[in-house]
Amino acid sequence: MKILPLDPEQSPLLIFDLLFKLKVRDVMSTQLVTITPEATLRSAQQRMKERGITGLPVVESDRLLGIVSMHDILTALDLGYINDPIDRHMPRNIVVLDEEMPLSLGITYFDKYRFGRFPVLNREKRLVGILTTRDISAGLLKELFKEVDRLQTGHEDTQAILQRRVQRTSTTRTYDFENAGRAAHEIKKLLVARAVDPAVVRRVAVAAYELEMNQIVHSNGGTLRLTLTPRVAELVAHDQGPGIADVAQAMQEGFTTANDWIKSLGFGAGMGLPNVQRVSDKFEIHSALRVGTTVRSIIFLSNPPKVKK
Amino acid sequence: MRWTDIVRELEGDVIYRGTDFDQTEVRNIIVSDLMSDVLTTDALGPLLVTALASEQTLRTADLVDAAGVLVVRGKHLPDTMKRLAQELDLTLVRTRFSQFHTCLRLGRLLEGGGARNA
Repeated sequence: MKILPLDPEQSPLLIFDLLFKLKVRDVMSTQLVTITPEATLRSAQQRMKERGITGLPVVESDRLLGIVSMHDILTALDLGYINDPIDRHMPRNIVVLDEEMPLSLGITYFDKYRFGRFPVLNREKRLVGILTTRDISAGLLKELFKEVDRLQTGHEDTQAILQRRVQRTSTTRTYDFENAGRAAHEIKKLLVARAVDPAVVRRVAVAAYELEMNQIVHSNGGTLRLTLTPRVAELVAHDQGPGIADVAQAMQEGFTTANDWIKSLGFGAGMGLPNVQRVSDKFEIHSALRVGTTVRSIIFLSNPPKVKK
Repeated sequence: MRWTDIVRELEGDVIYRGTDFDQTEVRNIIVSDLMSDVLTTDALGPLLVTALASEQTLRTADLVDAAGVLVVRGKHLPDTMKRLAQELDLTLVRTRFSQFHTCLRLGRLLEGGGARNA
């Protein structure tokens, strides 16, 4: 049996959600045009014409007594009793809706009874509104717009999160090879999650790894800080010494002070700092003996300039 | 070439089978025991062939988006390395062949496999 005059296969699920979520009260018209039972059918016809409506609830002190429709007016004209009071001719066995009814149920009344409008009563049986198919369409449209608005705002929230500046700091300890590469791995994951170009992710990851490795191999421990903005990844490696005696020399490929043990681990070939510089768009190094070394590497996330090979 | 070709050709011992083991098409190969050198390459999805059996091998391979790691000379692989391969989901295969012979065989595979039985 068809419950709703809508085909679930053909209509968006959102409409169905709304139909079940909304109540008759949410979409009914509350600006009521009514008439009293003593008024004539002709005055009812005039009021309907003035207000551009096709049905008029007949009310006595908030109590609904009946409803006059265009059909009743036509019949009255046809049979010649248009000047009679309404209560002599109006149908009294009227079908009403409860304001608490779900809209999904309200809609079925239009199919079931073929009326163009239904008076809506509250729990105290007082007339509080009227429901037409037009009210339903307008109400659904309004709710749909609200829903679209909500979805768009939600989307903007996600965008805002992606645009936000992110900072991560990790610490390194001397000769802590067990954890070497963890910070770089986390940084890589973070960039991948933000859908950064894979070639750029690799450059940031390589710089992070070499800087991390340098601190583990050469320093008394330090920190590696990543700052991520929508355009730039900035890595700042800062250690607590011992400092580099000759920075220019350290920047030469192949120059190394690493011992054999470090070399046996696949590092210490004098490639670290030159490697960081190679993948960076901006590169700075400051070092002071017995104080420490700070390396700053900046990599543009979008439209990266050509990298020197 | 596919991992299955590599494993067959090098009589490889699959230590950890990555989730993309069957789909990966290896086109680039890096052979190095020096991880800093590996980090300088721009090759896409390379296979890392190395005699260095350490966690750093895997860390480096992960950072360059390697298709996996092939350790030569039948080196002993520490348990920590096996665990990390799993954690990083990186295929880890070991072969008893030397680096030179491994490269020879991989070269034949890359050239189309016609000389496989040579």
